[in-house]
Amino acid sequence: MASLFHTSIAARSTAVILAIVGLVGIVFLSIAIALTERQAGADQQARLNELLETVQRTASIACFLSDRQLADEVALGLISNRTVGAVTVYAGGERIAHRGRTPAAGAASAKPPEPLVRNVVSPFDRGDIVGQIALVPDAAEIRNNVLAATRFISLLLAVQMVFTGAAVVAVVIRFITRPISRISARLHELRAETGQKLEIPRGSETDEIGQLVRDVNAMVDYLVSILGEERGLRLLHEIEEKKFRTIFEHADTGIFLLDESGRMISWNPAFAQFFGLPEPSASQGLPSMFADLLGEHRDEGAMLISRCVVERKSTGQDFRLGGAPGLPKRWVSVVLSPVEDNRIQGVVNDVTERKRAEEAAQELAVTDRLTSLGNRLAFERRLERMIDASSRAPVRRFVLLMMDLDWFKQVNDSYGHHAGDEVLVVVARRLENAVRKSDFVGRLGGDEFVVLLDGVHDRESVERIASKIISAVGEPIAITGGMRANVGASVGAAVFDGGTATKDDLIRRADEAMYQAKQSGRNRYRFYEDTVSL
Amino acid sequence: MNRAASLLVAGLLLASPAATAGDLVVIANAGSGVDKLTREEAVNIFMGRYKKLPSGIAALPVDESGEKAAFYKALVGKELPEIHSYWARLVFSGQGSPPRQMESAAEVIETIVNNKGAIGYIDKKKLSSRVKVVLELAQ
Repeated sequence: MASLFHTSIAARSTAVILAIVGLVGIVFLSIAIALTERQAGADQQARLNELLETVQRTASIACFLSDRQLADEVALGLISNRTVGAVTVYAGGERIAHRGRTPAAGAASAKPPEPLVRNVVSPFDRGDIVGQIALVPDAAEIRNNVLAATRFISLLLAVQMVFTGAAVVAVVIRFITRPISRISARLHELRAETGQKLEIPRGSETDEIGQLVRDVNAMVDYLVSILGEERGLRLLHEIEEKKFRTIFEHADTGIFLLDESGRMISWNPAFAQFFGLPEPSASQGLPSMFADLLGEHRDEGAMLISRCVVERKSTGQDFRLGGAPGLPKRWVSVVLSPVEDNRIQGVVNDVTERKRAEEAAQELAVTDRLTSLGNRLAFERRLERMIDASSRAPVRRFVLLMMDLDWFKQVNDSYGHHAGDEVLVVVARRLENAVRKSDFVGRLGGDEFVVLLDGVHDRESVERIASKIISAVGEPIAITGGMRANVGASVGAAVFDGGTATKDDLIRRADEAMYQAKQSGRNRYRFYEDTVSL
Repeated sequence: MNRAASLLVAGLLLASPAATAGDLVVIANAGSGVDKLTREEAVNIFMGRYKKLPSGIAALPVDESGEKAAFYKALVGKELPEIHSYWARLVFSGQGSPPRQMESAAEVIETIVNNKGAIGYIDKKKLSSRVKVVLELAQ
């Protein structure tokens, strides 16, 4: 019952309305009882008066004659009426008749009502009072009347309550509970995302329930539209993500993520290919250090990472990968950028092509176009490097041979520049053949050549090589057009002995020795005289 | 009261212009001991309230049928049926009886003469000296 009170509007409204009706009913009932009591008293009074009026004549005679018999008749007649409790007739100062009703049980304690006393006049002279009649109303009768009236009002009230309750239940169920239940049931089955709407219960189009349904529909619309927008955004986001994922997966650029200590967190397929790693999907249990992937450049890689971490900015460096087994040697450019969460995002690009182009350009800069030998720049660099290396390891000595062709001008003059060029190319090949692979052969310009003999430290070896060069160059050279050209070589040698001589010193010395060789009749070699220490 | 006086009174009454035809007189036995009755005493006696005359003699009221209606009209202002109904009630209760009924004034006089306590009424014109007038009722 209590739960019904809380869960059913009909039950609650009925209970409340019945309580109110009952309360008001009780108030009205008590008012009605009071009024009825008073009315009943007045009614009885009137009835008693009427009764007295009826017996007036006989009573008058009885009193006139002090006739006890007649007075008793009067009293008996009066007492036969139920409203009368007791009758007493007085005449000439004495009681001539009395009749009383035995009071009902329980009414004894009640205070007897005030008696109604009336004078009786002589039947022949209205001015002559011959006696009195005293009537006591019957209290029980009054009570009974009031009770009957009360019972009737109570009955009416009860009937009214029953009908009110029933009406309230019916109205509440019909106009409130049932529409709400229907709405609720429909809400349960509502597929709002398909644009379904709640129906307004019939008859409720203009009332609060209709308004409620409209409000619910408006809210559903709003939510569905928000849901749609949300879905659209998510789709867009997914597409974006897919796009990036695709880029990540298919980029030629290796992309990877490191923690601060340089440990690999994730990488894309391109990265895996660079370093011969398994596919990212199969990377479990393989959180290796990035620097380890760089092989011999391991320490440089670690430095790069720490620089990126410390300076909090993008840092990059190119590495030459020795190549894991089965992988070609290549250059990669690694750029590390610090990102949030103390992580490092890295990008690896294959720069082998660029490096090759650079090397080619570099090569071009230090190569003599005609003979493919090193040019003056290459020579000077090599010389500097060797001086540098020798000064660090004094036991390492080397020899600089400077050579000038003899009779080359004649070849040029006789057969033309093209023939001269052909001669220069052939001489270059013969020079290369005359020395070890590790020795440097260069053309400084015109018919001037240089050779650097690394690690040679005995005069005989130098002389042997010099003789070999001279004889090789002296061989006749076949040129275009079936001609033969003959040139010779004058060679000057300068030995670097680990002293303080500079590059220019060495070149000058060799040049001087070569000049002496030319002076002493060509096609021969000379040592720079100061270098007798060999 | 002596006879002469009575006659005188009667004569006066007869002679008086007021004593027109129809006037009634209440008469009693000369030896009743009653000289005068008030109207109230007359009512009480005739309506059965008093059983005795003021002198103590048992009262014996009598009606005279010819003058009955006029008498009660004059005495208590009531019509005969009312008087009859009054007596009917008393007879029913057994407590009293109406005056004895006489047919003529002579019979009334005779009864009064023969009974000391008798009291009646006659037309004043038919008055006899054998009885005593105790109350005169103007019509």
